[in-house]
Amino acid sequence: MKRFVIAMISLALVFSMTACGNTASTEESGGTSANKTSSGSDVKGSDLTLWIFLNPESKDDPRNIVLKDIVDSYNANNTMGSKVKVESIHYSKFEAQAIQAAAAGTGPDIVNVYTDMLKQHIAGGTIQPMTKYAEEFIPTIEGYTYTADSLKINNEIYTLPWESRTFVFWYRSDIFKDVPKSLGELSSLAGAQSTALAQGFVIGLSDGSNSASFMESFIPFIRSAGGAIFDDSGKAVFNSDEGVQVLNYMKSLIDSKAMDKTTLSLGVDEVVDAFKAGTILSCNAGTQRAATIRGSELNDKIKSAPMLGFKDNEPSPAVVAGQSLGIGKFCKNTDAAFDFIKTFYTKDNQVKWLKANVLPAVKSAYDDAEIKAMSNYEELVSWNEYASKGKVEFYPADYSELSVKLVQAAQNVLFNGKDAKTELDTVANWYNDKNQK
Amino acid sequence: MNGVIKLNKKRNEEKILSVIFLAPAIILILCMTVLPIIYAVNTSLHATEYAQIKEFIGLKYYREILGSVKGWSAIFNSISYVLMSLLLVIPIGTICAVLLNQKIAGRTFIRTLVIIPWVLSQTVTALLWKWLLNSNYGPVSYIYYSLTGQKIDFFNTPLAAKFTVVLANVWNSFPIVLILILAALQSISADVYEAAQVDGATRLQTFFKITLPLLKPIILTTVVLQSMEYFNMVTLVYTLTSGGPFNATQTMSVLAFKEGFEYWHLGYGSASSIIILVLNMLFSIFYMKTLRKKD
Repeated sequence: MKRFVIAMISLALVFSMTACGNTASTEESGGTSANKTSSGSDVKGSDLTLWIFLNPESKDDPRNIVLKDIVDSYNANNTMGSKVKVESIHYSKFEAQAIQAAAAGTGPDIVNVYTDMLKQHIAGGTIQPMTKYAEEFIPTIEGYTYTADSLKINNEIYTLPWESRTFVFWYRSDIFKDVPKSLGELSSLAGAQSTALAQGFVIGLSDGSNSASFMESFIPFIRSAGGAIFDDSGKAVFNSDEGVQVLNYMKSLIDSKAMDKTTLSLGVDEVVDAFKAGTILSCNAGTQRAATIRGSELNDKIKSAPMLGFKDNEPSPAVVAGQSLGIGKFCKNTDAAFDFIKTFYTKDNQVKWLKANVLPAVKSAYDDAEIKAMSNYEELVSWNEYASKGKVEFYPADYSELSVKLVQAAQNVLFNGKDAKTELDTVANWYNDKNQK
Repeated sequence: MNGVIKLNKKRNEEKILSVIFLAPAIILILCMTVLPIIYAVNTSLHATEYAQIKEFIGLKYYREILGSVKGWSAIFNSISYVLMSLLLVIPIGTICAVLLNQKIAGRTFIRTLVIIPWVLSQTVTALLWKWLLNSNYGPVSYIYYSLTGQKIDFFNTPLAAKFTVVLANVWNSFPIVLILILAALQSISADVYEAAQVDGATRLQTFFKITLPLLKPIILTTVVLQSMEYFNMVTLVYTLTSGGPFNATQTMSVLAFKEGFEYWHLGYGSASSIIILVLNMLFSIFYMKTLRKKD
């Protein structure tokens, strides 16, 4: 009898374990069906998840506080009865986690996507088109920076940008009395100001975090020289004379001692941290980093200007990108998801983002009285003017891999004495062969 | 006759019972270990597009890895990372364990303190070391600059970066070695030491002739366990250096992660993982055989 009881308990254990996997899916499907009508469309609110790089539980960054405010306010006031839960994922792991989730047939209802990475999300199957919702909604947003057509990829709109960032030149006004006229002047001035501890001007050359620091300078510089990364057919053309000019310019920064070998391990976060600490005297960084930079003890000595170009008094063409919101591929209730997405574009919420130094996607936010009273209002307006000369671009799905190859080519040119043309040719040929261009 | 039947029946019952008792563990091992390995092997033999498995391509990825400088460099980096880490972590762990086995004032407090690095996650450890040793704003570099007027560089030459990741890894993982060896030390009978003392053995002789030989089995186990952990380690190395500079710290596991989850070459990443598995097995067999021979 004793043995029989033990055997039964063991069997029960085995069956309960094998049943574990089924429980979750049963509960999940039950939860979804509760929101379905007989026709299969969703009409009521739902419990929604939002995946985003910001963390509403943290107060380190003013953007976190704005996000928490928007989500809490929506949860308290939305008429559909939806509840949005935020799941924060670090930006460097965001794409990997979203694509893995999608492969497993799951994922968030609402996804925040950085526009540079949008094509990777589409290829990875993390989001679904929301063209119908977006085309109806865009005309109703007063002063929205983007048109429906400018946001289409293969005739579909996948996400709506809720911010519009650009990349600018940050410098110490106590070191540089005036903004250098050109990149050439910057190289010599920054070289003269460098010390054993401080570097005059730095471009981060780490291959971590998608080589963001390098690409944020390489793209505007090559455009300033008259070149491009891709031609209209998507073929890589950065191995042009202009691309070579940019890499040789970066090498001249080493020769003039404006920057040193420590840039090899600096990603965009480290460059900003060192700039805040005063050991980097100028750098290029996105306007979205303003709140972090302005948190420096040296804030009163920090200024920004449009990114310098190769010609005197002619800035590099503005590179514009932005965070955007889309509907997850496995969203339980697309009506409810888009209802939440819409809240990001109200003037009130765009003003909140602007107060957190995030360039809004709605121009009318600049007309707000509170914004006009801000101490850095002039700077915000100048960024907006600079950004308005550029347009948001969508890079190919394998942009991350290409960025790393490009920064490694730059590392070889700057520190291993390799030829710029040869290195760029290698990367361009690899890319074009891979994509049959 | 009845006795034989009863005996057979009893044996059968015992067999069934043993199978039933073992079933949960076997199912767990199948689900958590065997199936993922089979899945990884299958993925490594197919073309992939993001997480989708496409057509069968045989050993193409293995040939790509083993036929490229990148692949062999990653294998070399993995082996050197594991060996350098073991060379430091085992002696440090053993010495600290022996010291903490002595009756000294504040022993419990010191034991607690020493264990802290192991409690920290690899991400936290990497970020901590990245900040400490950063040439531009890290405190270590600043102190060095205050003393010498020069910056110190921990990440920007291949050799310096290799040592830095090993150092951070040793700091993070030596407490587990210490704990295992300390537990083994406490199981050694005091009589053995008393006998050695009576025979007039010095402290060094006692350590090398008694303590160390008695610790050999646990050291072997620790070496095997730590080798596996170091071969598989991604987070610490990736967060600290991303595999740079010039791929100097790109181990096989970092390569597998980057290829699999950054560039979405899941097939190539899976093939890299299988090579890590093979490396792990080869090293474990090698350690076992070497140490058994010496015994």
